[in-house]
Amino acid sequence: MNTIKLLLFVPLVLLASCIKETDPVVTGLERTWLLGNGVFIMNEGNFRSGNGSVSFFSYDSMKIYNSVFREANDRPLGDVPYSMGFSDNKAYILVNNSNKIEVAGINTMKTVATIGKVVSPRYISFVSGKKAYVTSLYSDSLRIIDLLSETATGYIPLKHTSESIASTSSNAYVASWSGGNSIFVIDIINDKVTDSLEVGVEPESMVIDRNKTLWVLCNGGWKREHYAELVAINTFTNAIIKRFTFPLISDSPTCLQIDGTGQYLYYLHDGVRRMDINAASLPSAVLIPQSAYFFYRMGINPYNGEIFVTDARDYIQKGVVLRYSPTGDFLSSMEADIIPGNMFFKSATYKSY
Amino acid sequence: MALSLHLKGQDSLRNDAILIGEVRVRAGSDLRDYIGFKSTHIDSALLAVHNHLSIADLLSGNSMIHIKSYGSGGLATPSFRGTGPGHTQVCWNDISLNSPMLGQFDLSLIPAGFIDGVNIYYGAGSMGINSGGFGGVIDLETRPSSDSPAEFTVNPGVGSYGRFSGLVRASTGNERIRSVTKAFLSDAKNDFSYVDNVSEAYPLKKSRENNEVSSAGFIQELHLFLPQNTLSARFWYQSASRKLPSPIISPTASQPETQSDESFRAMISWNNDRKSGEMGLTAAFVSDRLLYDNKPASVHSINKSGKITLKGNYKKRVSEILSMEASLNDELSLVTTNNYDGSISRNLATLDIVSETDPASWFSARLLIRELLHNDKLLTPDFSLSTEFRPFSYKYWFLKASVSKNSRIPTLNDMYWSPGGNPDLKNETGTAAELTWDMTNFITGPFRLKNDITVFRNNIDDLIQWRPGSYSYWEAVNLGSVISSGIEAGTAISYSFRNLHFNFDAGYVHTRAVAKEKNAENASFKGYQLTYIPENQMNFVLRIKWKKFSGAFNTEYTGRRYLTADNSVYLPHYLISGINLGTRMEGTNHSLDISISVDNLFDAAYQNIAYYPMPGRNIYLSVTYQFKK
Repeated sequence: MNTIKLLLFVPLVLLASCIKETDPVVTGLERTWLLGNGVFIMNEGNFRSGNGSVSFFSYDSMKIYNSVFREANDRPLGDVPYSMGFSDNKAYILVNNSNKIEVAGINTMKTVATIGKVVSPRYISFVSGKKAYVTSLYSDSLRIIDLLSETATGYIPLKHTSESIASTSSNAYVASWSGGNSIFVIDIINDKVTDSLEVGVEPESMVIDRNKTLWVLCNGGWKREHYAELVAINTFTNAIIKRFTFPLISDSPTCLQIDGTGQYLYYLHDGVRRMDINAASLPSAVLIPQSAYFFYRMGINPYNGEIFVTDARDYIQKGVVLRYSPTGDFLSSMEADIIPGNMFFKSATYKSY
Repeated sequence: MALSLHLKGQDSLRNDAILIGEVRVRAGSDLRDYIGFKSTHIDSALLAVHNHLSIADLLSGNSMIHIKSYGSGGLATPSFRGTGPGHTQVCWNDISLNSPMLGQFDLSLIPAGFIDGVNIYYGAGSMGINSGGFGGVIDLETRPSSDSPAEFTVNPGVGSYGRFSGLVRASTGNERIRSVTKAFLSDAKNDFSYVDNVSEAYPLKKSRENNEVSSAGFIQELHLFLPQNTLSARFWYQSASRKLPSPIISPTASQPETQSDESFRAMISWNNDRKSGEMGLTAAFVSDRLLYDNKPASVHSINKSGKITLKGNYKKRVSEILSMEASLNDELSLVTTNNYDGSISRNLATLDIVSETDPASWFSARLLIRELLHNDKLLTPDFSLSTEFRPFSYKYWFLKASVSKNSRIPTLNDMYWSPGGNPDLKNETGTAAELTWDMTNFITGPFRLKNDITVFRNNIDDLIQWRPGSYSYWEAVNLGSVISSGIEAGTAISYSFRNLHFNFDAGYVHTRAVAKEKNAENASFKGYQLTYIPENQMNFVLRIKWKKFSGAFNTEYTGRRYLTADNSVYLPHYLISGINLGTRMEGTNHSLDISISVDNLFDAAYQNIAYYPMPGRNIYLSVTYQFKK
């Protein structure tokens, strides 16, 4: 009977011992570091798990702080924070699968507003002090954000989904990435599509250089039926002026970036590659080889030229951010959160081309 | 002799209709007691008490299976022993219902009252039913439950959060032929209130939106009982339409995602039972149609799948101590979806040879060897070897032990989803060992007690996972291995005194499911508990019946579930209870049962999946009228 009694009471004892439970532990944040120079890292988290977060690498402390939004606001950020934009000392965090934009103080990460009614937001471009455009992975239109009221106020129909966006003083250029091959030209005064340019298949990322040339990296599509291309467009005439085709149909370059001088293009293709905007051909050499890593996203610090690359490891555990000098020398590595992705560089004198 | 003792012993337990652990074994159940394996049965009496719940909710509170649920009416998938939903086979009278596309089955849409019994086969005990069930098999039984010439039951109910349901059942026939007809309708708004502690720094009380579910089902069965032969034809139609609410971390969508499911299931079976042997043939067709709409995202997904299953088996007792069985199972799956590059078909055939022996009164053993043919590719054979010891001939105490190797072929989504499907995937392989000590004690005539304790260990290799590939899209790969081990313990007490009947059942399971070091990528979190697998689960049900009154009180505990691979973030544990009170009025040919159930009695706020709140305290009133001739 003793055995029987034991078997009877074991579950009850175990139950009682399991009752006490505390809340999840969140990494601590020394908030004062947010005031200084640094890098915001969008940790996408696992799709539909709601465990996306923002990390901040501080140049002042030379440390990385994870979950800075959660720490500042005592609530989670959302599902798949994808990109960020800065305007008027505010950071606009586009939370892709939560269909929202969190607006927070750039130096505090304290929430200012939450902008809803955006479908699958990807990138934001501030086309004036009062207005921004937001691209969408799923919606067939561009969302207009009123920066004064922090609300979504209108649409610009594209009839295509949209991905990267880059703006000049008169036009915004929007890439139709998923299955597309077009760049739409938007008149930012009238919020109208005025032109569209056919480029390579799946224009994935874009930058504007010091000559106001728009560079478009087309990765060729996942089915590998088309060659990847790097296309240069004159933003004054909206004409294609250069077209570089990648040598192999299996080549799938991603993540086109530009340095702070607007002179050098960077992209990921079996490592980090760098190309002068005046180069006559694609670079054959790799500036930073992947070695044991798998490079996922890249950012170039516009203020000091440092190269930041993320490795999402197996996309389940915490990923790594790798920091390199402008010449490609390894400087340091740091552990961010799950799937560290796009990075955005913070300074009191934030600048962009 | 030992085998016959084994069988006779189990039969005698069955005929006495006593409670065995979470099992309520009753006459007429199709539960098979495979030598050396653990299997349990949830009978129609318990199903009737919980007729307002889905099968998912029923299993969550009354079994050792973990249900991962998106909330009331939302997708709910089962997993046990630290494995995933795709490693649990859900069957209907032995025919697999798992989607050939996703490889899993949604248990949220079947009301408990629509089913006549649930058989649960743990671990490699599932190999007697099907392949690929590393965790086990949940077999939903529908069968005649009455010998009455005519029986008609109608069971309407109404509950909190706009819930209405109605179930009718008609059974007629004689000892030669019997027809059973069942139908149900169910509708729920599921607009329960919850505390939102993620949208703002302070908690907000909100109502769940876009959570409506409506479903309907119909089953027709015809059984012909001939001497030594049974011929059965069954048809099951089911449909459901639901909105898919956003996780509370996202703003409520103005145009919610919607999903419609429609299933046709039909089977014909013939069984021949002679002294010299048993023979059975079954042909089944299962068709599923799933429409998913996400208007803002411009996604309109149409998924149709069909599965034709042919099963045949022959079992013969070749000597006093040996019986042999051969089984052939062929499953042809056909899928049409706009998510693949064209239609896909696949055939999986298995041939089982089973030998059972009972050379001594205290020992019996079973060996199963399975060959699998995947399209035209012959796979490495699987097997299970199990034994059972009865150390004291005068006691119902059994020691069961088994080792096995089982295979799961990739789902069609894993192989053909566009983009990312990988036709070159290898099978997942599961090797397992388990040991069970099972004691039933007849303390006094009306006082019976049963305890069982099982230790198990599963090793799953070549686990299929989706991860980002080289071209910025996710792809399926064989990556890593998982070890799950644990202890299951069950206790059941039954006691009767005059008009008072008392039953108490409790179960506890401790599971450690961890990644095994396979490559450098996951080496750093080797030893961490897998996400969404609770280490501790417990439940108990206390049932009391006195004259025409009955009551039940149940409690379910689910431990913390980690949300990240490094176990840094988790959902806290929850403890929920429910109560059911009922009374029965009986006439000559009529009876009326009235019951009221209060679920989540103490209004616990909890989530089963992160950011999908579950309902608080809710009430359901059920009336069952039965005419019986």
